[in-house]
Amino acid sequence: MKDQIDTHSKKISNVEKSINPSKIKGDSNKYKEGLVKKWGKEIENFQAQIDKINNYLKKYDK
Amino acid sequence: MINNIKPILKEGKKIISIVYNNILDVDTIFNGNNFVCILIVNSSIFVPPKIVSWILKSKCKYLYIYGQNAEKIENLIDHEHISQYENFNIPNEDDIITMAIKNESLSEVLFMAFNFASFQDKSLDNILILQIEKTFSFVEIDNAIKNTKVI
Repeated sequence: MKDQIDTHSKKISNVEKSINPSKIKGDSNKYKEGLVKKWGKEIENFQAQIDKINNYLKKYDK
Repeated sequence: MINNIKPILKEGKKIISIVYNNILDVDTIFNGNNFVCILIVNSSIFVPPKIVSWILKSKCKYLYIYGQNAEKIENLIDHEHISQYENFNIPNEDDIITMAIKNESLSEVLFMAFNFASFQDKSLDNILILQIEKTFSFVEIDNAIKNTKVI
């Protein structure tokens, strides 16, 4: 999950690398914004999952 | 239609496992509720457009893409998804969390799907295991389901 956060963070910092401009039908800046928004939400979700896993492990350790 | 598909029930979870070869009618089995999809792509670099389009229109809210080329396929699905909307802006209710998984075991993927997949803070109790090609036998999948803990 942490790898996923790293991967998504890298994608956000270098969006150009993840896209093929020839496939974008429309404003490429808006396209990039759309992807960054999506990946940002996914990072939040992955972080929430990490928190759940950590809570589970804490209970399991007890 | 999916004929003769019996969901597996396990501690509040409803799971169905299919190899893609026909039009899907998962909504009926899941009563129109949101679900998690584990899309097993193995070494495929291609997912039939019909499947991508079906997933994006379905009630799938959490998509694990599992296999050697998972990341490439995730990029392709993300592209198709945001391209459907004006200004590439996916409304919150249409979000689908996508996650590419390459090196974990099937049981580990199931463990995450059973226990940690959530959408907008709600857990997802319906799980579809969808294989593009037959990577795992139904016995292997059944065994992985039986051996995966719901916590």
